[in-house]
Amino acid sequence: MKSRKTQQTDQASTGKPQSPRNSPDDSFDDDKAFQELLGDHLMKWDASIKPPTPVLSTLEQLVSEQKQLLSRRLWRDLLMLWVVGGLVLSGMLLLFQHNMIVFVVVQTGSIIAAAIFLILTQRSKFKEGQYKWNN
Amino acid sequence: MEQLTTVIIVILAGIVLMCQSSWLFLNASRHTPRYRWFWGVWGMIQFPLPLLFYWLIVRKDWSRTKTKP
Repeated sequence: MKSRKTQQTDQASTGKPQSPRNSPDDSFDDDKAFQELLGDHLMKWDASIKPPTPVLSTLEQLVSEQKQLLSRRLWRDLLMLWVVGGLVLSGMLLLFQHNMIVFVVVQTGSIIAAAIFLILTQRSKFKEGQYKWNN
Repeated sequence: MEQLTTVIIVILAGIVLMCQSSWLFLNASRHTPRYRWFWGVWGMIQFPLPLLFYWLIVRKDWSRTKTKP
């Protein structure tokens, strides 16, 4: 059911007068009849609905649980990094002691690999940004 | 004596690399969580290039430094 205002805008946009059945006066009468018939019931029904409000303690508990989960995950990742780091450092130390040339090659290779990785990620980020901006 | 100095240098280098790597990993978890392992592992191999690149690429806001013509 269209309101009187939308009907008027429809008429204004099309430039044609609406059919006599859908004239603004009829629509206004329909609105009035609808209000008389169902308005009170709808208002009562609307007032009877009370959205459940979450308890503050539940929300606080949820937040603290999430924080604990995140910090636990971070510590686990950090421990994994230290284990990987121990392996990498001991490997580098062995290389440094036994074969200096391979050590230098590995160091140079890691710089080049990191630079390539950074260039590729920056380029993909730039393209993603361009795509988002254009679409 | 020379061997002791080498051992001390190696231990110090290991501590510096570990600290750099952990800091990069933790900071990257906040600013660019997708690549935190990259920064953490690279920080374990070299010093100070990863810190420098991290500052230039992740932390530095280049949009502020651009001057209007």
